[in-house]
Amino acid sequence: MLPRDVLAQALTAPLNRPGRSLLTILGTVLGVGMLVTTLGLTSSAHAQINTRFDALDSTEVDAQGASATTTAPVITDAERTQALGLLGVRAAGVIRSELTPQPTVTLGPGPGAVAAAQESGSSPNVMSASVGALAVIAPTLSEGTLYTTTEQDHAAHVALLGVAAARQLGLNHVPATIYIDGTLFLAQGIISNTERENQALLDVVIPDTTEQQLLPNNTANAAPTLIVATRLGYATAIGQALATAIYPTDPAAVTVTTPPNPQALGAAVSSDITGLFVVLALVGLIVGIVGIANTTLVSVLERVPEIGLRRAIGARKTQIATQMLLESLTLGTLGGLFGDALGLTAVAAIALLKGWAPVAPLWIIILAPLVGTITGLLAGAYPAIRAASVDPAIALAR
Amino acid sequence: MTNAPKAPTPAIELRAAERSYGSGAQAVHALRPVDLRVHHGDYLAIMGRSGSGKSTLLNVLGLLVRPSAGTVLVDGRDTAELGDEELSAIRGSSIGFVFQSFHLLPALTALENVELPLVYGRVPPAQRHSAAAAAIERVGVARRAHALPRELSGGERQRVAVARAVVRRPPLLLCDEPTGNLDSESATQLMALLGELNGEGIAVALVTHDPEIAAHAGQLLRLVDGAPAEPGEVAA
Repeated sequence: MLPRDVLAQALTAPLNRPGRSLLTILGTVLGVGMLVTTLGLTSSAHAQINTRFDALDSTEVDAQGASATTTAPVITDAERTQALGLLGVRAAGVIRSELTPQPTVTLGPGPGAVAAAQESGSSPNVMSASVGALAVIAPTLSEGTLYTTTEQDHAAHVALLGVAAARQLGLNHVPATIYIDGTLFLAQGIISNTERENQALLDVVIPDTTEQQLLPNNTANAAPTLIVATRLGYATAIGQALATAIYPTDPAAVTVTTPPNPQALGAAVSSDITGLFVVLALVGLIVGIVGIANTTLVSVLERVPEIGLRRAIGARKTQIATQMLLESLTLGTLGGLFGDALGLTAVAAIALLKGWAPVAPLWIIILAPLVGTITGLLAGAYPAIRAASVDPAIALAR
Repeated sequence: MTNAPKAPTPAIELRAAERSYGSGAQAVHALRPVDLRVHHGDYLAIMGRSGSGKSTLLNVLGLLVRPSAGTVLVDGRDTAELGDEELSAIRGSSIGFVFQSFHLLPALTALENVELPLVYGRVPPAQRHSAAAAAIERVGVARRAHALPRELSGGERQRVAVARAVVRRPPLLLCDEPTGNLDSESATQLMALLGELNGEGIAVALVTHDPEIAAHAGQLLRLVDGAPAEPGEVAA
């Protein structure tokens, strides 16, 4: 047969019964669609994770210092100098939180105010942050100003109020006077937002020098943390170098915390989701193979007289088998095309709902119809063999 | 010394050809050894009761089944040596089939059904279209060329089947009860058409149980229990 006739003969039966053909390819459509959707959503989620990590979370490194209860090296704000010497560091400084015991913050002096605050629970926690640490925290003030290096150097009695701390104290505006364990402080700013260390929104923040001078007993058990803001992409390298930079004699003694690698985290998330849905997609494709095989086999059995006739007028066994196989391939490829379109539509719709940018690997968009073709090939193999083995004499006697 | 004229090569020849199914005591001898020669232009009717081997003989003549024993020669060539591809090619080019139940493909128009043998003959579309149109004109149903089989009468369907059988101008036309599903008028018209085609040089071998139909043929072969009723070589 001429090649175009081979194709024309193969298309006759599927086109003659479009409803049956569409039902036949349904399994393949769903299987391929699920495969495209799975891989597309994985790519989109991966891209989304990367975007979020790029923003903030992957640009901070922490180094834990010694306390009365830990044996890490001593870390003070002075160590920020070594950190600032590393390539990619934007800011560094020391914070200390979780003071034990927590000092009492009141609006008035005297033991009566302290007792009342302790009883009512209106005393927010206190944390300290050096000026360098404030640069890492990057607070946004709704009112007032940050304290300066000069005030830090002089251990000035100045404070910033986290927005929750201010509400807890009943303060709406600054400057205002507060008392920390009976010592007068000037609250000169209200923090309404931070880029890092959200704890500052809840606490009263004072300079680290002030804290060490005023509250030595409270700080003894609180380990200082050197927080470092990095440039995008430098966090991992800085994390590896920071310990040596700030404590070269025994860097292993310094505990450095780096943000999770977004690539690794994305891959971990991807592998969990992808593995599950790829299995489901494969199940769908197996259903598709069975569906096409079943329908093609039934078609062969229904068309035994036709096969006999074709053999009588000159068709060879191989031509009969080829026709049946091509019919099955056609159905499979159509299923792959429809499944590809369905999957891409699903990726776009779900990504739009979640506010993601839809991302789908180009290779799966191009290869998805091929998956359908292979489905048709596998499904049509046995029916093609059955068709070729039809005895024309018996077939024509029907 | 004279040179006797050489006998013409039969279009198809059977030499002690027989066909059995099964083996041993369970074997069914559908066709016992028969010698038969069908020359170009012959018109042979094959008669017999149901189970007499008529259809088996036709299938052997049509190369649809190989004989269990004996020889089948097409234009002097032994078909035992031929594979499926060659046998299929011979069927397509040298043998036309007409069946009792027409066997038209329901999804194709009358014209497309007639073109089908030419498709397997690798004839280009333009040529096979004109050849099919000529064949369908020859059998007198040109006005129904674009109708589907379900839209045709029984007589029209059988005429389309005849057009399909002769579109490649085969030397041999095999007909298995061609009038079995036709009314008497259509049957008469069909037999007239077969007579015309035979007159144009196409050999016709026709299986029938109807003596009136058989009377159109020039020669008669009667089968009983798979063997010729009158033993000996049958030259149609």
